[in-house]
Amino acid sequence: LPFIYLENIYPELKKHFLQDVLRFAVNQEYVSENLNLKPIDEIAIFPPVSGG
Amino acid sequence: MIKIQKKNFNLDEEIEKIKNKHSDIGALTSFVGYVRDLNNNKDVKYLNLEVYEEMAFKELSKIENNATKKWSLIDTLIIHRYGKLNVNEKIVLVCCFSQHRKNSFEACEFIMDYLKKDAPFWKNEFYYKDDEWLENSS
Repeated sequence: LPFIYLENIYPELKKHFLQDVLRFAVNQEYVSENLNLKPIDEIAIFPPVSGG
Repeated sequence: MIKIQKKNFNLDEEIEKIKNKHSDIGALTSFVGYVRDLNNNKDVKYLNLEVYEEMAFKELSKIENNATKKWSLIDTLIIHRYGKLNVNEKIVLVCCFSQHRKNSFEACEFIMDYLKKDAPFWKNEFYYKDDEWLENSS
């Protein structure tokens, strides 16, 4: 339910939401809880990382 | 110090530059990560490494600060490369400088563990027939 908006805009994200592997960042900081967003906030949604 | 760059680096030069700034260093632990020729039982041709640069810089700074506080490090260096990297090329360097060896060993492992877990880099690994996005195990 919480991702309906994003799924509509980015249909390819759906399978990742279902797998529950995505990470969220606001203004380049990880977020794990609900947050009130401001219009200027930079939002990132990304798959599991694999650096190193 | 944190560097996120495309170009290769020279281990001796990078280490000497920092070592020359301090005479209280008694120990350095360094870790280098390389591109391997075999992964997922497939022959690797090369990696294309992507980065979310501003966030990577922030995350690495946090990890570096935490390690510095926890193990009283004298200095640290993290270099992470991005872009196209062929087999045998260096990907990452972590250096922890301290007075004694135990702190530098432990801090180096800590930094690599958190780098792998949290730093926003992604490896797209290219084989001879196909390619795959990798995922670090936690």
